[in-house]
Amino acid sequence: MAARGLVAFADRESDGRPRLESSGGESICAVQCNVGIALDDAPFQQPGTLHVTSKRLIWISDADHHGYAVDFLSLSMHAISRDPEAYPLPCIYTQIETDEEFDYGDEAGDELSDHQDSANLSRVQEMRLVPSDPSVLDNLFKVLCDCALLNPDPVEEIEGEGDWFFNEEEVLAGAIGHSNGAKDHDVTGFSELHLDDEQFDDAEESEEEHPA
Amino acid sequence: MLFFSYFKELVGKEVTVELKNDLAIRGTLHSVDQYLNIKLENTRVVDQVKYPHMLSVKNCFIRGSVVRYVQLPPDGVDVEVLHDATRREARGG
Repeated sequence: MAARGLVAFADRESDGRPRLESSGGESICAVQCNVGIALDDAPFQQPGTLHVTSKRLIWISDADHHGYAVDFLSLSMHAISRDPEAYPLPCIYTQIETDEEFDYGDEAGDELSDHQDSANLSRVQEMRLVPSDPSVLDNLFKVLCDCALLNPDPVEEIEGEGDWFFNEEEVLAGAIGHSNGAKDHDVTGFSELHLDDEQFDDAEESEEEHPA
Repeated sequence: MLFFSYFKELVGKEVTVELKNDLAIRGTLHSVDQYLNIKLENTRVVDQVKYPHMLSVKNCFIRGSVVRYVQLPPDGVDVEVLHDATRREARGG
């Protein structure tokens, strides 16, 4: 599955909580109030509520309820940033894997507005989550680590990977036969070979036979 | 599991993790898990000129799937141990 990157999120229950995916067992792992958000170099946005689910991060503005969501599968890294030179406020810094990496095109200078179109959102590569109370950063970081673990990448079968041999029996008795498709036949005499047979010894050093 | 076991031995050592987006982050290896997700401490970006926005962060979690290379400390590479580990792996143990 390709990384989706950041998407707009507006699917709320009547009580204001985000509507979770009914299939796939998405559940809320943590909710943090009073969290601001900054996307790429755009200005810091008004506080909202961060919902960490077993699948993704969902941020919803307190004021006008616009929101963003990003799958853990799209989060390349996250870190605690406390260096004021890196960002004026302590925050969780995240990088988002996008489909069109580094394709800034001609719009590189566009300021992101409060209500970006989806094309702009999918290009967002950095997101900062800025809690008004910096003391929650450590716990938030831990929650993100834990939830990232719930979302391993789908296993891709790499071509040729199935040809590896995984146990001693295969390696010693069948490896050569297997790879030639002769599964049930012992390679002639293979198992009777003894690696300490003289025939495997190094050749005698001939120099020694010559007088110095 | 070979890489997992091997990287576990490197916990506490200084490594450089190069991401598929060319960002290289140097730091102390805090932990690694079965997916080769990597946690670094006391990190810094190797090429600060190229990535001025990515200044020092204290802790960092890097998703295993975005790692391209991990540069190891020379004293973290014990060829004998690696030989043994690969043999054990080949035997399925």
